[in-house]
Amino acid sequence: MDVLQNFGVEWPFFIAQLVNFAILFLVLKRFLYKPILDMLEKRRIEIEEGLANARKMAEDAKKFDAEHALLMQKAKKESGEITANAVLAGEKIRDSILKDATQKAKDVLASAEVLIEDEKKKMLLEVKGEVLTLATAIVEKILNEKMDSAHDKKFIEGLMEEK
Amino acid sequence: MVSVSAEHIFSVFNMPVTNSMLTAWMVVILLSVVSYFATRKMKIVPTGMQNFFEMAIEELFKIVESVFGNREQTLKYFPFAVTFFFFILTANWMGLLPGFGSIGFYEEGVFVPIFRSATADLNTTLAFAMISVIMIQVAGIMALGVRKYGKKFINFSSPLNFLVGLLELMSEFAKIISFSFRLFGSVFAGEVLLVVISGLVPYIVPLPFLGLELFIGAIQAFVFMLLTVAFIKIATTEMAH
Repeated sequence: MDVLQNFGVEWPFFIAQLVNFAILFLVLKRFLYKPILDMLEKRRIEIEEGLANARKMAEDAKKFDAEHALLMQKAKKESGEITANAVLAGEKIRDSILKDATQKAKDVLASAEVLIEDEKKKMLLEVKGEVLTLATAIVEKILNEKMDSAHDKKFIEGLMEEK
Repeated sequence: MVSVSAEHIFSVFNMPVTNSMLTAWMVVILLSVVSYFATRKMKIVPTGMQNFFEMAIEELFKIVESVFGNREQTLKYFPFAVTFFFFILTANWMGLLPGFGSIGFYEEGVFVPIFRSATADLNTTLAFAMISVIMIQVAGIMALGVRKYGKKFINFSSPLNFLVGLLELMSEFAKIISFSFRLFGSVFAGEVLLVVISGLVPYIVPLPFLGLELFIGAIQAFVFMLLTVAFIKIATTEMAH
């Protein structure tokens, strides 16, 4: 203990330094280590969460992309089918319209022919009548002066019967 | 002449106060105030003092964790070990400030400085060493139990183990001496060195030695912390047979 006394060790000072250390320990623990370690931990958790969120978002985006592509493919296929159907239906309609029109045209043509035939017959009949009266008139005019009417009559009637 | 022991400078309620005790109080107050203001408004994105202390604590934590090898034990003993670091570092560096050892008064023809580095007093370093060694024992008993931990020192399983146990026991007491005298010795020697150099050449020449003392002050603080941590780790680890 003599050695310690030579170095100035005295119990009151020794104990005072123990107390100093204890005070500093408690103060630093309360005001330095705890808040900072808590904050470091909090930040670590926050960063981890942020990274996890980012990863999840990237995965979601990928999933959405895949879904989108699938949907697009489906839509394309459907639209192709619809177009094909429409074309088919259009062709059907065109065919039926064409058929109808052809039929109608044929009908019209047939009725027109009948009409024309009738007209022709009628005209021929009329022309026949005209020609007869005209011929009669001409013959009358010629014969009136050269033949007597009785002779004429017989001749004309004979002509008429011949005809 | 620099005295080996701290000098009495005044008394409070008949309790004598030494110059090194005064600076120890200054260290405690300074660190308390600084840490209070550093963490008063904690922000998730740190600035200023908070940033500095976060960096320091994080790096020290990593070092202590590398010794313990697990987070649980680190969290348990980190505050204790790092308090040594901050206390000793601040005391060592404060002792290098101008005025320390040079401002004072004459008492019966002997110069008495008002400020003396807290760690240049064996009372302080011995107190720290005692705290550290007692804490090492407490940690060992808490981790292994009284019987298992006691077996390290008192072991009758064989004569060789008995002798080894005695050596272990002695080494625990040797720790107190090595802890206290290493720190006291290097800081006190540094002060003596600075006084001698300043006495020989007062200008410019002491500067490199001041730098050296800054370095030694940091190293000693770091060594004290790391040895405490390493001894705790050894005490809490079961002996392999």
